[in-house]
Amino acid sequence: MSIAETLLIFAGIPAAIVAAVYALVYGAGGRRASKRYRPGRPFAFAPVWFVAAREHGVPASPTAHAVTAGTAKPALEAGGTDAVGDEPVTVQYGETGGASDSW
Amino acid sequence: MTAGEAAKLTGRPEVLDGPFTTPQLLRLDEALRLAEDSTGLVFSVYVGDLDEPVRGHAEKLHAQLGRVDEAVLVAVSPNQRVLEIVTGARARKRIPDRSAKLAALSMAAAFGGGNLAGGIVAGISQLADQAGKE
Repeated sequence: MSIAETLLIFAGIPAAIVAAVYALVYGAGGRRASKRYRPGRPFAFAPVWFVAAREHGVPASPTAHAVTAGTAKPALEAGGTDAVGDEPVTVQYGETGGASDSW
Repeated sequence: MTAGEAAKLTGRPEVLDGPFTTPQLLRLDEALRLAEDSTGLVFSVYVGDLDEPVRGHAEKLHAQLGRVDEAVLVAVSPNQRVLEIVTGARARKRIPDRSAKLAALSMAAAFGGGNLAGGIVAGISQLADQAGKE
């Protein structure tokens, strides 16, 4: 067996296996893990706002879910842009209760 | 054009680009629907950044919901690591602030462990349990 063949078998094949495992772990798994929230890490997703589907009279189904979330979004953007201008409006709803917490 | 119309054109709902996977979205949908059906209150969940003051922004979002008096909003800001529960005047009678605080505590514990969807679902079911039947 020549030196080239020896190298190919004893270095090339292990290197190929290592590369394959690396690709499997960081290629396929990495994308899925990025969806997960980790405390302390930046959270770069677009804001989402969910309202129960009953309000729109749509029976529960995966498509109904998408519609709910999609239609709710414009209201959210409106709230975000004129956040300062509409301040007195919340005073009218001063009877709101609830709770706050942080982690 | 609203976001909903945009989603119809592209055929892919924008919510899939959000922080939740499809099974988590389905669980969230189920939790919201069950909570609303059993209590008659309007439940809503917002996940995203909140402007300062956080409480004021959450109340403003709450005011945009239909039937404000009966609306319950859970606003979660993972970046600021805060969560706000806002209850309308009538909802507050069924979910006292102390019970809301209890739900907020358990949600914050789940969020601290990185479990965003699980915490929200557990919090909603806790709030719905507290509100009781319609």
